Amino acid sequence: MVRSWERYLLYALIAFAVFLPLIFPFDVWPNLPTREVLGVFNTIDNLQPGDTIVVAVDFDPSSEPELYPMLLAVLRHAFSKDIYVIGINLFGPAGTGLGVKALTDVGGEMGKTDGSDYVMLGFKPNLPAVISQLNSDIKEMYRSDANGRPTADMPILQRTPKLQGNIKYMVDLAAGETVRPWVAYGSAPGGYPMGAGCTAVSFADYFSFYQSGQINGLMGGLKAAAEYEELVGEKGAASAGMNSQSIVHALLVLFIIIGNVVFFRSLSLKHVGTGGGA
Amino acid sequence: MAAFIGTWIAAGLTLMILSFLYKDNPFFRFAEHLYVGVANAYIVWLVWATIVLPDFIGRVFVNLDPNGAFTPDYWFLIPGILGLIMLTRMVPAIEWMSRWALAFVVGWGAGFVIGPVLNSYLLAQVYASFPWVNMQPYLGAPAAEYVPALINAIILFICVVTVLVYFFFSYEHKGVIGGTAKIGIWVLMVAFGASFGSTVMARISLFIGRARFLVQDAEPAGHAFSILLTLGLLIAIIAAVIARRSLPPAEESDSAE
Repeated sequence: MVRSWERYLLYALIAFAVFLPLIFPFDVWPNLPTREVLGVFNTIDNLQPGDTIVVAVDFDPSSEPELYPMLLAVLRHAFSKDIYVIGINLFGPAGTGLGVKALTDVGGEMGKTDGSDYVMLGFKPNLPAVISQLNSDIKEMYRSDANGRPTADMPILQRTPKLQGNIKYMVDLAAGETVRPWVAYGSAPGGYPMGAGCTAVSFADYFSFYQSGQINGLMGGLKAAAEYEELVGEKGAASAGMNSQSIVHALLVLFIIIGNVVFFRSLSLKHVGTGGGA
Repeated sequence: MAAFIGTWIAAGLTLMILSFLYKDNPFFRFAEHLYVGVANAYIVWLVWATIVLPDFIGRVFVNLDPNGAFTPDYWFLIPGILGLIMLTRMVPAIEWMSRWALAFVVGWGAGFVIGPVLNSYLLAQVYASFPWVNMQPYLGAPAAEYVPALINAIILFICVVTVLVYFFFSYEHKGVIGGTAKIGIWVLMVAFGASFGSTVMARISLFIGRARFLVQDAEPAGHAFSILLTLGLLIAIIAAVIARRSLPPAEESDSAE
């Protein structure tokens, strides 16, 4: 039976573990890149200036702490190599604003022009149909971008009228189930390589797609975002958060050990109290 | 100034939501209802502005591009009407009409997805479960890479087979089948453990996101104010809850009514 003060003590310890590293930042643990994160990084890194990639902003504000830093890092990497970026959102309407903000902020920082170097296409329902259509004609599906501007004469879409045969890579930053349809209706029939970033919750689910080679890279949660930031050489929100994350994980392991010790001790005391008989 | 006020509001709402850790309270309820209302309104506007307007009205009735020529495409009336009759579910007398739209969606969906789903979700995944397929990239690799990859490939294959056997209920789980299914259960437990660990990481990440906003993201000018507001709200919430608890039971039930 957990007493109420014990519950509040746990909350307080977790709060301290999260807030203190943010108030007093330190840099002890390097976020060494894993092979899965390197899969995405190396693919983008090996592209040529003038190539086009698609970055799907398939998440909404509820997954923003994990996936938004990932999005910023991927965009910084792509823009630093003069790669054109087509942003898209097929997860839910609320994700479009995050995509517009990220592309505008990072594009502005790096001197890129909206409509020429990047574009954010808005949300459309029915993933399978939209992805299939994008493979053959983007402008027919999106007559205007997320800001309501017509796409007919947009330079980036003049160069890339359809995904199939025109884009060199596709990264889906997904809070939900969008990686599967992108694999099934986009990457496999379209013939372009694909990577994914997802929340830590979904990482285990999507790993089978990485293991099977259907996606060549997979970034899971805040840790992967921090690894990508480290690879790009610009530490941001994910790297700052990983200090708190590491301390909280250590704390949780400690809680589990203490909980087990207390549990087994109470069992043995009960055993002694009842005279050892069952 | 807008960012300044926004910081105040966001910091206050964050604290109101976190106050649920103590117990359910009016501040939490207010923030929760506000969130649901604002989110719904935002989504309704987005769906209108980015889907209904350009993909239906703009294709059939109105020219949304002042510089471009407009040719109405009346084919879009068909999905438009199907979409509208979905709304008949709200009128019991003509509710049956919505089944036409659903029948179209289900029929189209079933036909469209079978091929890609079989190919990508089943065949490719089954193929990638076999050790000899997974070992192809490691042929000729040094032993330091080959041996761990081989062990991984064998473990993967055993896990897939044992879990499949666990979900095979046509035979009683006894003997070899029972033993294999038991290994399958252990594999599932390990998978659930991994998922739980990832879930903890994800949830803590969300809290870190909010904490980072309170500590670092707020504008320097608004930062101190957001902390002050935060502390003030925290004190107000605790005071309100304590005051409510100190009420005599009868009075409390009266006020609840």
